[in-house]
Amino acid sequence: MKKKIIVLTSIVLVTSILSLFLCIYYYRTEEVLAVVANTADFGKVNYFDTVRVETIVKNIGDKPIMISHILTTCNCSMAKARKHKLEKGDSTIVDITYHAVDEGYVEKRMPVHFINTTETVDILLKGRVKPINSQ
Amino acid sequence: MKIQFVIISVLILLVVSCNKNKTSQPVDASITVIKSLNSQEELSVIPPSFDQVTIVPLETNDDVLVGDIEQIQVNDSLIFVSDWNRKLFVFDKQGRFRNMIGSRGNGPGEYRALGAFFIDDNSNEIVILDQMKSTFLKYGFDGKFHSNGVRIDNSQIDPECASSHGDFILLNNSITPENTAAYRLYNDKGETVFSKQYYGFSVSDYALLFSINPIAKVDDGLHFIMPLCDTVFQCKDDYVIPKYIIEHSKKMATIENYKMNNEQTITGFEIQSVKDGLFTGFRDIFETDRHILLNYGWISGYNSGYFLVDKKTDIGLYYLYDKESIFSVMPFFRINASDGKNFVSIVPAYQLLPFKGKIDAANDENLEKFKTGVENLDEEDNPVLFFYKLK
Repeated sequence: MKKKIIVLTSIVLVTSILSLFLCIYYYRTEEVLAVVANTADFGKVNYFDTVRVETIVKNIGDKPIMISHILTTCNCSMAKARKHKLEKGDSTIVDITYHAVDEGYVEKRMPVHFINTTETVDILLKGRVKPINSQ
Repeated sequence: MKIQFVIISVLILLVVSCNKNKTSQPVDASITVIKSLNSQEELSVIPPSFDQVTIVPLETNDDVLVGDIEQIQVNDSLIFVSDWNRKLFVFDKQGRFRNMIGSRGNGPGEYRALGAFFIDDNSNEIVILDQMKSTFLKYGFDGKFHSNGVRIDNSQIDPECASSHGDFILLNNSITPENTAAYRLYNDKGETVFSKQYYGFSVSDYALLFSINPIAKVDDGLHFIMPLCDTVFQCKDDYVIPKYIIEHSKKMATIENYKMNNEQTITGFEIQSVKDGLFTGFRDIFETDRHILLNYGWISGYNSGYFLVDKKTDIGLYYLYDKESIFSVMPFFRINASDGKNFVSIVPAYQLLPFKGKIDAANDENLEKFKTGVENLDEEDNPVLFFYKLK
């Protein structure tokens, strides 16, 4: 009987420590990001122009972060961060290339993805493309 | 002796079971070569003939403002549109707003990031892939949350397009440093059954998006396309086979051509390839019961093109999407979707303003509809949908 109690207590103890460890690990990997991304405004351009603009992504949190990549929602644009590891308070320039194949007012979302988290931060690319018929 | 017999039998059984091909292909797989009636150097500027055009302005009010559109899906009665604000709108076929699908958040039935979505015909549901949770979320067409679907086995994907066939879901993803598989097929347990890369494409520190609409749903499965490739592939159950090869007159660009221009976007690469006299393959695929339409990149200056196949004859024609506004001819705008019977174009309001008050209908029924559709249009209005039923 005494032996059974010891075994059960050990199992409960091990399970609790394991759960605590998993909770801490999960919390660490799902921390909310403290990152800001500026809007990139390319102004007014003609249809089919190639636009290159820069914007800033800044780490305003306490811990270093690592940029993985920046997505675009069309194959007419691309964004690259010059620096991927951002220490606390550090920032990087993001170079954006956009081929103006949309007409009128343009707004495109570019999610910035990071290592070790599923959280993202959006860069907003905006501007106005003169319709081809008005050129 | 007895033991030896048992061992040999077990070994034979093991060999047979390992050779059982889980991705078995049908015995009579055959590829159809689609011939073209014209060359890519002599594109048709006259659009294909259509039986009718249905013009549907989407309702606009302060609560229903559609931003830059990311994805559109259409079935026989409803229109589903997602925009850059990660909202999913539902309209009826008259353009009247019905409801939203879900909302952003961390609560039950809320999505953290609206990735790709598709219509599940089997269950009459809208299925959203929440790419942060790596989980499919299922909603009714009325926007009510039904249930969580499977959780997929890969969290490092950025899905752009999804479709389902039977119990399988095919996702098309952006290529990123963490994920080089452009296509992933999942079973009903969320397990990857197969994955397919774009040959030779890899990225070190950015994401590469090739297409918004590379998958078409058909009766016998799913068809999809690859960059720098003239083949349409078929995905049925858990196997993939080449289905069509499309005839083209221009030389196909290669991955080496792309790598030499790797600072550019796919659009930039296409534009450069046109100047070099090269063909970069097809960008989007849409199908109806009678036709296949394949968009492709920039032909000249401001125009792009498409290849239209008649499924009865397996013959196609290369066309130009002509951006010039001609007010006495019903325009054929760039196609963005299909509902199985019609090809659908979603046109921003500002693009239609040049036609306002200038259309010469001359008793043409389709032009009359067009005239009425743009009569009261303002620049800030929601887009207008054009449903083309081809002859």
